[in-house]
Amino acid sequence: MDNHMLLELKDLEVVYQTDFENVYALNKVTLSLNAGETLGLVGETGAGKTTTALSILKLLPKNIGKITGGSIMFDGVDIVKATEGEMRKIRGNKISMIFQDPMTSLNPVIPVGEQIAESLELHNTQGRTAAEIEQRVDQMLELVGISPNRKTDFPHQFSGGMKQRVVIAIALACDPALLIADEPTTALDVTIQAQVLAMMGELKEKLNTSLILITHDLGIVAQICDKVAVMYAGEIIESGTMEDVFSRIENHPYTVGLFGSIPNLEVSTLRLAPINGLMPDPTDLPKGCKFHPRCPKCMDICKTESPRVYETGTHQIMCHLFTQEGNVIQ
Amino acid sequence: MIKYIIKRLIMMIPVMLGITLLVFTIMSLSPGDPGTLILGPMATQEEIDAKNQELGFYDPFFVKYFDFVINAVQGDLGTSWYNNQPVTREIMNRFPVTFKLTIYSILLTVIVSIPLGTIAALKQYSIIDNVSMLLALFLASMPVFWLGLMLIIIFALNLDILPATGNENWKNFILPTIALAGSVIAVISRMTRVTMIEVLHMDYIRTARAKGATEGRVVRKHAIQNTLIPVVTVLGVNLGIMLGGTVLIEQVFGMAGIGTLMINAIRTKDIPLVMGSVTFLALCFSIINLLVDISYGFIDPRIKTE
Repeated sequence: MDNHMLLELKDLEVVYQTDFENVYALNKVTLSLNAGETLGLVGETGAGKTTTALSILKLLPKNIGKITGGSIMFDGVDIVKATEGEMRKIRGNKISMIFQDPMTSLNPVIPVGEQIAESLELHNTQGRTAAEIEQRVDQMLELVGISPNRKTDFPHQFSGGMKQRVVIAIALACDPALLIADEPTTALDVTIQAQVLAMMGELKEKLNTSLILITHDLGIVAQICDKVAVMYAGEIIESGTMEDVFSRIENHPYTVGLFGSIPNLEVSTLRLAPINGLMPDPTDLPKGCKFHPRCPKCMDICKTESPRVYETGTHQIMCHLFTQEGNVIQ
Repeated sequence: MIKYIIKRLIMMIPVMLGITLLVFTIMSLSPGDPGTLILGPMATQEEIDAKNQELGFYDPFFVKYFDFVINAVQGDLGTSWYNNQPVTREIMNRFPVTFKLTIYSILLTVIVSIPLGTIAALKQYSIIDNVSMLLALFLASMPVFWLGLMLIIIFALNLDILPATGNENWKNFILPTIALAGSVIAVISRMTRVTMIEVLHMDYIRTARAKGATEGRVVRKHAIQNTLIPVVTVLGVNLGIMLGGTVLIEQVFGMAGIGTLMINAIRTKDIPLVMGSVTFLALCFSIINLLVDISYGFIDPRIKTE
């Protein structure tokens, strides 16, 4: 299997500029993903997960969201510098995205088959005929477990789980190299969640697609991801392979907090241990480590100096706890 | 769909009965009698009484109303007290003018306001947005008849390029159509603008962009139809207002339509003619509403299947 580097984000910075304030959504985000790999992007609401995804597609809200620094390399193309026309050739073709809410991500007035066919028509580089496109639509619907004779139905005639399958079919129609799934199962109930995840895992194997799975559910990450990146206040505070992070030998205090917020079936506890406090205001981020106001292990240095990256093998943690004695890069 | 149309047609029956009953009651309460009107001031009281008896004027209220409904269903709206002509014929003589005026105004509204609102939404806060919305504010603030009078002063009296009154040829319809459509254009273009802005922020628009669609395609294929759903609702309501506006506009521009017919009938206390024109306009309004509702089914698939 071809394992070349597919996507690389380097020191990516995104700011949302409104009339009143600047929101620092991404602060030097660095990520990389090889072909065929699955990356779990974990974090609280507002950590910058969706912003990261939208930056990769260059679909940040117009006139408001701006990439102010860093680079995004995708398959040899610098996305930050790419023109709108070049981006349109990539969107839906080489990079597809599955959005959070299947209830609202399909157009209510267009039959689902037509919505799947649209990306095929837009990226018809192979010169498919109309009949071949229809055939491909049927094939995609079958792939996600929907009977092709329902392609003339409208989105409101499908259940939530089926709508998400349609969304997945749209995203996979052009055999993308990279699929970004933004909380694909949040809006679905648990049984459907499992089905959709299993299906995405299968399809990914079959098509050798790289996947960025955005979620706040560590359970899902453990199920299907190869790599994990934990985001907090627009930064990646910990990243590594699934084993690195889930072996729990060394973790960022925030990641420890995330693990503490999951009920454990083996140990009986009366209460879960939530992370106290809220995500900092992105218009006015704290000095030093952005997690320090909520950190149970906060030291004096954390309040003044930004932590550097502590690295052991593939595992990277951005925390003073480790950099003081550990092996420091940068 | 056919079942739905039939259901809606059946629902029109109580609506029509309600309207006619209301107008019939009001007309019965107004003073005056046909005998005096028809025979003139020289007639004796006996002659007048005899004439009223003959016309069924002294019959009980519900008998009169029942007779009216039975005849109306058969297409007979009675005979004018004033000139002794069948009301139906009078209305049909006048209907083409009102019909043309309304249709032209609807077309003008749709042709102008939907593109205007769309452009304003796409170029939000640009000069074209600001100018068109300011214009819409002006148009919305003007009463129909006042706008009509102003148009006459400017284009007929001062510039002398268009006729001020009459309904002989297409030139006569230009000013009345603009006057009648004015405020509706304002409402619909504002509505289109605000809905389009809202629709462009929807998730499915982001999905379309994520597929690699161009902005033009996003608007044409994904946004317009969704924008039209609420716009058509408002348009439907405004068509009723427009139909009412024809009464004023015909008066201002001296056009021989149903509006002027009705006003003259009210002046001369010609009750059958008033009843007939009101009934006919109410029927037109119901039919327009039905057409609007049917058009929904084509715009919004969610309605068709229910």
